[in-house]
Amino acid sequence: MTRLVERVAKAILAQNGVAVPEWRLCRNPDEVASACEFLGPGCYLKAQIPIGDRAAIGAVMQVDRVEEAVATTAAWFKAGVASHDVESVLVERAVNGSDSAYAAVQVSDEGPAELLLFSSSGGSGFDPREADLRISLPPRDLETFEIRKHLRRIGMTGSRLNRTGRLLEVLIRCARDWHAYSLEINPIAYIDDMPVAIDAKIEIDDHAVELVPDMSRVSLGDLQGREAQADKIQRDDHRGTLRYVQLIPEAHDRLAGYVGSHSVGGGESMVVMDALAEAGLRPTNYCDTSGSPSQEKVRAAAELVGSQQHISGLFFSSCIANQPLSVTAMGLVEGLSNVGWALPAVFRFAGNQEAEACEIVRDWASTISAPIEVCGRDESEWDAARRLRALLPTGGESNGVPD
Amino acid sequence: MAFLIDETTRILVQGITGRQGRFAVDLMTRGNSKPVAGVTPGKGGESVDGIPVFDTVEEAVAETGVTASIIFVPATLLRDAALEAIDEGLDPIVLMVDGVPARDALAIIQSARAAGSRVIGPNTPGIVSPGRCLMAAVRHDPFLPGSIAVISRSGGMMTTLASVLTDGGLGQSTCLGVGGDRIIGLDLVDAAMQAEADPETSCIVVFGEVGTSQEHRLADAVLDGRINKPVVAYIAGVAAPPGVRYSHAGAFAGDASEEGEKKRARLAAAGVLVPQRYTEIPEMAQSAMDQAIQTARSA
Repeated sequence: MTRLVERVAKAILAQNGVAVPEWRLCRNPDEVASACEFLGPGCYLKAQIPIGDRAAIGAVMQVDRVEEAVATTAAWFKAGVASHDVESVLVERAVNGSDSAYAAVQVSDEGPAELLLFSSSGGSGFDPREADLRISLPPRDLETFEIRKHLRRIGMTGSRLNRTGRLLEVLIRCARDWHAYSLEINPIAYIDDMPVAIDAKIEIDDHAVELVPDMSRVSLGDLQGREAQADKIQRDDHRGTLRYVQLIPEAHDRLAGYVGSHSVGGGESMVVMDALAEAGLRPTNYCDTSGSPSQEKVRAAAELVGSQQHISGLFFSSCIANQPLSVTAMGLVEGLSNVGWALPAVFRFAGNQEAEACEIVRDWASTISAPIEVCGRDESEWDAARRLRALLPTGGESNGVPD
Repeated sequence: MAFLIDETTRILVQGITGRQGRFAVDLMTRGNSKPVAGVTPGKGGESVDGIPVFDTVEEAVAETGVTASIIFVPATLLRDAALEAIDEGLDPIVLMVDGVPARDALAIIQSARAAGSRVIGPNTPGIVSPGRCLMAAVRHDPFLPGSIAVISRSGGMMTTLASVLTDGGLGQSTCLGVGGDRIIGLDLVDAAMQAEADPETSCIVVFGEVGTSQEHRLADAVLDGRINKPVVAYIAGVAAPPGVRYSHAGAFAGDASEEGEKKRARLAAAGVLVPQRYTEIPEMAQSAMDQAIQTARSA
């Protein structure tokens, strides 16, 4: 899921008529100082990072003095917050509203269903499972009176009833237009019964990013390094699937017991992580090339995995694959040759053309000096992972095991 | 009998003239389940490997009596194709497509539910009832007729589990990949309920993983007696760091309850057999079936 930062989520809501606090977007401490002077004492500083419940990790703070705001945000810009770089900070005018509420539209795997949630209490730490209202939405638009009826049933009255009803209508429309898995306003503050979205977040369906009304607002900038390269390869070559995740940030030094991981199959990749862990090894990455990828795509993936500086070895395994594994093997050999592979590795092929695939890798392995072993489906992922551990230079009973 | 499909199923392939459609036709034909019709709008009158191609599902139903559809179209065209199949009352409808927007999947599933059709997928490898019908894009040789249902959130692991069962001499009634996405038609619980109702299925084998609430709801179904047949569930990804979206869109542990270890513990507490490795499944399944027979005899 692609999570949009708060300012984008609130801008989308504001464009659709939802009240939001006045704010300034700042990219350095000087801009923060100017914004604080303009918005007055008691304003909020909000680091624009794509994670939830930022108040709990100190990424949202209320400040009375400009100096305090400058010092706080200078630290954020320099060191980031919760392992996230901070590129911008929202400085927001304090809203002196009464009460605090919660509203969300979510797509749930249970049912499956699209849910509208509302609660007359909300704020940091609120658990959506405690919501007062939980409606399974029909495929059609909900009529205004239907929302009003539900709100009345939980005790809402007066102008707050009408205004909250209109807010929820907008919420549903925005969630659908933006293909949101989740669109949440938390908290909602009331000023004279007018709901104000104090904070909001949107999680976009990865499969629908190209369908949203304004792609320029969807930052794919979270992807860096090898993940960004893999994403580009996948977008440029639709034959099969390449998914790469950097699990352990790359370091310049080789780490004992840390290995590159490359699999065929999403489920198999999960199995492999468990098998490596049981063998006392830790994968630095997740990489799955499945669905009959081209040799070029496998080659590119093998280069991404094999060129990590901090790995001590490589583990490859396939499920009982339908795709021609000889093509996969040729891609692996080409990619690893390109990065000058010279470390221990175990290759486990299972499925279509597994014998040919084993032969292709064995032939290549005979031309290089690295300790490489190849096996077929007769050997389980767990046994193959232990073989890799035994090949590693520090692969004793207690050595080479990552913390 | 098996569940979902059997030798009476007459298969329609929507998107038959594309690369993946043709590839699947070859695999299904080798599996003794040659489709009887195809649909590609605008290509009516053509044929693929002797299979007639129609412009509409309505024509395919009228001319060939197809009863079920397997769909290979680009993700952006899936909603239209699936709704057309639902409109003609086909059942089941197998969505072989990856990358489907969740709201399109939701619309398809809600329409199918209203019409009484069962949707498998999206992002599924299909359904195999060994020796009876292969409605999938997989080779037939890893599968063996028998009485164990295989229900998997991973396509590759559906075949892998069937293969280890076959190697252990245990055949399968129906094997089903429910799909790797978060929003899917029949999920693990729905599929297990189909297996529960099938008199020729004696044991249910499940491949689960991190993400979604499916395994927890499966545990609930066992606990509350909706599922009484023995269940063996292997859950992968116990070592997978949380908060990461892996290959399957559904494999994202958004909160702690969706992590692998929590799922294993919950299923085990419900009485489900939970191996540490999938290679232990044949022995566990055989033992569970033996015990079920003994219990039935002593009752």
